[in-house]
Amino acid sequence: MDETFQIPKQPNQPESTDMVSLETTGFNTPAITPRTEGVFNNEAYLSSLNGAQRSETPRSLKSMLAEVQPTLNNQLNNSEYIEDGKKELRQAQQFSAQIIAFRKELAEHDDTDFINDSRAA
Amino acid sequence: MAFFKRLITGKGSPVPFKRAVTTRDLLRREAQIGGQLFGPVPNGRTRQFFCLDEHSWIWHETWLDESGRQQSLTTRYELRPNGILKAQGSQPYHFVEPEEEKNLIKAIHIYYDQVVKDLYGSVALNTANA
Repeated sequence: MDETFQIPKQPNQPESTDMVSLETTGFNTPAITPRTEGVFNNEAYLSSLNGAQRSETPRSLKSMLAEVQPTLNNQLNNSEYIEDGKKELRQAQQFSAQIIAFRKELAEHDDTDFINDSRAA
Repeated sequence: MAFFKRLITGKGSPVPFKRAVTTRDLLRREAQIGGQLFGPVPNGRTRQFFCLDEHSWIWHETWLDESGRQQSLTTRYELRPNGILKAQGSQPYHFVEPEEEKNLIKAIHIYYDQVVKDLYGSVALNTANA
């Protein structure tokens, strides 16, 4: 028998109280609660929103650009840094390849099986 | 070449080299050179750093713990076009942080200069003249 936590269902309990049923509204939308109705119908609240928007002075493109410029510069420097990093990484790969080439050139006997073994491991 | 063969034996002995120089010999010598790039190694500790193949670099270190038992740690770095992967001990691979990547690349540059100077000078010169 399953001993997990279960609440026995009451015989006349409705399926859900969160949604207004299709029969009552025609739309399967969340019920409009008194709280949300209060927000949208509250004149004082709406006025305060409009007031806040009106109080902001129009900003020039120049001032907006000046504001975002440091961020843009940072991003630019970062991409340069990434590009430099990739260049250095490529150079390191070239050094590695050159070392292997020197090694092959100088070795009179190539016993590289152990390298392949280590890769497999 | 005779000088080089003596170099590999590590004794500077005039005794002729008994066998052909192998890749493993060269790798061993490289690992010694690489291990000395990061300053003096404390007593009881060995350090090897070397290029395993075109994409892989190995850092291997051994030391004695408090009870005198030998411990070792192998770190493997894989150079990929989009970054450097690192695996340490039995841990899975992960991309290294930019700082570690920068340091490893710097170490590879120094390693390259040093092995060309100590080991592959003649080959590098031939390659450059070819």
